[in-house]
Amino acid sequence: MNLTPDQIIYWQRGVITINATLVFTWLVIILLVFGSWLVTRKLSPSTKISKGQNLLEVLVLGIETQIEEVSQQKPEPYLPFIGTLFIFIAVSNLLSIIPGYQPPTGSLSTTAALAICVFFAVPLYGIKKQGFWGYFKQYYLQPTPFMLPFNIIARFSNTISLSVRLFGNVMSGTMIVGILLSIAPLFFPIIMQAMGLLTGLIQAYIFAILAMVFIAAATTNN
Amino acid sequence: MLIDPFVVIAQIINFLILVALLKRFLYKPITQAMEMRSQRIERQLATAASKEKDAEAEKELYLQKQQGLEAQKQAWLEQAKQEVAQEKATLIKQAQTEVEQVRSQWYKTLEQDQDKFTHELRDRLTQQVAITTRKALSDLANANLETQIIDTFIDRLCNLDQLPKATISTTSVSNPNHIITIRSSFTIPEAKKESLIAVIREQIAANAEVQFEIVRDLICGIELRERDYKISWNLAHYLTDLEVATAKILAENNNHLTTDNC
Repeated sequence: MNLTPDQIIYWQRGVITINATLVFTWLVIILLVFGSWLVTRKLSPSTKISKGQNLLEVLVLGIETQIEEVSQQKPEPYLPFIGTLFIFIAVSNLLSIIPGYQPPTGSLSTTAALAICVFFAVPLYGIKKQGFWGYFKQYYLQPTPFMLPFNIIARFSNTISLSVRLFGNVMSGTMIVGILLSIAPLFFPIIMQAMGLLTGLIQAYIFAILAMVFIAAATTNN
Repeated sequence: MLIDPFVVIAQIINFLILVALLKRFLYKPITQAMEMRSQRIERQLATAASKEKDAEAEKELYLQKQQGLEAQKQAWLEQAKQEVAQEKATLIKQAQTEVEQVRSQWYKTLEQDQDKFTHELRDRLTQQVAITTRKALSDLANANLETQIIDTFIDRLCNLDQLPKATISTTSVSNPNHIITIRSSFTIPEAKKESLIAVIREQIAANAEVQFEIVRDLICGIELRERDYKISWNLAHYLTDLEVATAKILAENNNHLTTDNC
């Protein structure tokens, strides 16, 4: 049993390795982009809309609402980043219902990459909104400048906790299903798979919300 | 090692590409569509509000027009009622006038008929009385009616009161050529003429010249005329009394008829 899809390697030359993580990530990307293109090529501004458009509008509107509630700001600047985090993680986790599918989020490299993206997105949004000094003073010198080292450690620990939490949850779900398949292959794996769908969605929501919380902390004065 | 740096970098790049692609193919079109729909709904709401406002104004206008029409209708109804009442009163008055005229005309006709009837009755009665009397006298006493009339007249002249006799005598004295006219409705026999002349000259005026005339209107009678003075006997007196009595009965009948009609 593989602990992470990184270990399933399809092709390798030097440091360049094409493993299951990358392949299934590309599949998810293709699925998302193709599905979005398929629906959005025939968008209707009227009140009569297709089911696909309705689904995407509900999804986008829900993400916007969550961003607005968390950040108390207009959601448009953060929608692409936060929305993509949620959709990518959620779809990656939900597709694990398909046999043979390896969720990319079960790779610590993927979750680390996403956490690094959040790590860099926070100062970028903060500086864009408040300027460098405003961001620095708000985010690193509070409540006193003496807390600067701890604040720096907190920023890194946030990133690590984000990546490890997601990786641990997804990896553990996959592992539990694998172990149960060997112990009780008839009934329990189905329940755990269903539970995995739920935890996968919850993890996507937690990751996206936490990312938004970090960004909101960097972009607001309070 | 759970973290592969190449995979991390590759995943970062993959994620950024996914962000760009989803921004291009998902977020932008969807938010634009929602924005367009929102604007469209706002426009429709604004249009609806404008139309509602117009409709309210139209409604107000029509309500005012309706109220105006209602008031006008009431005014017309009142006017029509007044005109009908006036017309009714006029027609009733006109009808009353016509009824009054017809009644007057009817009364007049009735009176004319009554007069005509009375006159005819009088004539017929006269003739009938004369015929009957003549026949009765002839049958009972073997006497002629005209002879009896002349005899009665002679008796009357003989028994004339002093006042008329004096009046006629006075007139005769002042007028020596005084003419006394005896008018009768029948021809007086010569013997009776002589008797009459003798009685007149004896009782009234000795120098009077007596003339005889036949007048059919006298109705079986005889009369003596001397200028403004007249002595007569004929059936006209009796017939006048009968006429008065008949007229009275007819008048009573007419009153009964009028009362019944009312």
